[in-house]
Amino acid sequence: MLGILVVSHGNLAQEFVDVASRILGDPDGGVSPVCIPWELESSAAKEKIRKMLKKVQEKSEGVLILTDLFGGTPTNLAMTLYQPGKVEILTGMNLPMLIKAILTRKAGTPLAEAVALLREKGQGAIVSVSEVMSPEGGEEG
Amino acid sequence: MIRKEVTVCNRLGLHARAAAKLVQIANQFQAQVSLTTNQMCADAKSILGVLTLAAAKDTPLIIEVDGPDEAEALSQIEHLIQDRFGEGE
Repeated sequence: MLGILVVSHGNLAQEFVDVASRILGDPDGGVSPVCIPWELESSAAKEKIRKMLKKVQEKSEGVLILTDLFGGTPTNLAMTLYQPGKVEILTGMNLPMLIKAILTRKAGTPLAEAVALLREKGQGAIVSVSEVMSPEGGEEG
Repeated sequence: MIRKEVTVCNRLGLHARAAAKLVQIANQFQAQVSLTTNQMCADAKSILGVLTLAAAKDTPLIIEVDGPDEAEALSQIEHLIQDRFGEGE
């Protein structure tokens, strides 16, 4: 089964995982948060991500790392652990993407397919309310 | 294929946790399940799809179920909605 790491600035990763798990009624959703405190030195932060990645890799077939912001330190550090086809990274996570990731993991979807699907679903779940409220209505995401 | 119109009757409407419960039930069946409001249609087995319906309290919802276990699927989904997703209000 796919392993999932959520890596972020501050406590965002933990909060994302808590909220998604609460919505799905699943205690941890099989997702491991890695929070990078603002004051943490970058080598220590990288080590924190690496340790969690190793732990998740031991019990998974492929690992997907979801990060909060492309160009930010958590993403930059995660990128140093990128292994094509084994450890993939999606940046700019949002809650719909994480919810879908938890369900995709449970469904046994392989890594490459999961990356493409979650990118599509995460982007598709961004909705302008004005479009939905217009007489023509919106499209299903 | 069978269909039934119900009304979303819980105070918060088809919100995230309610949608998750509905999707969980729909996924227990082989039958295809769709939910339709007067604006759009969604696959009841997809939580992101169900959430796009943005169905508030009092929204009429058509449940369409197609498959070998359609009667039981419809019954359980209808019960969940009429039971206000177990929310009590």
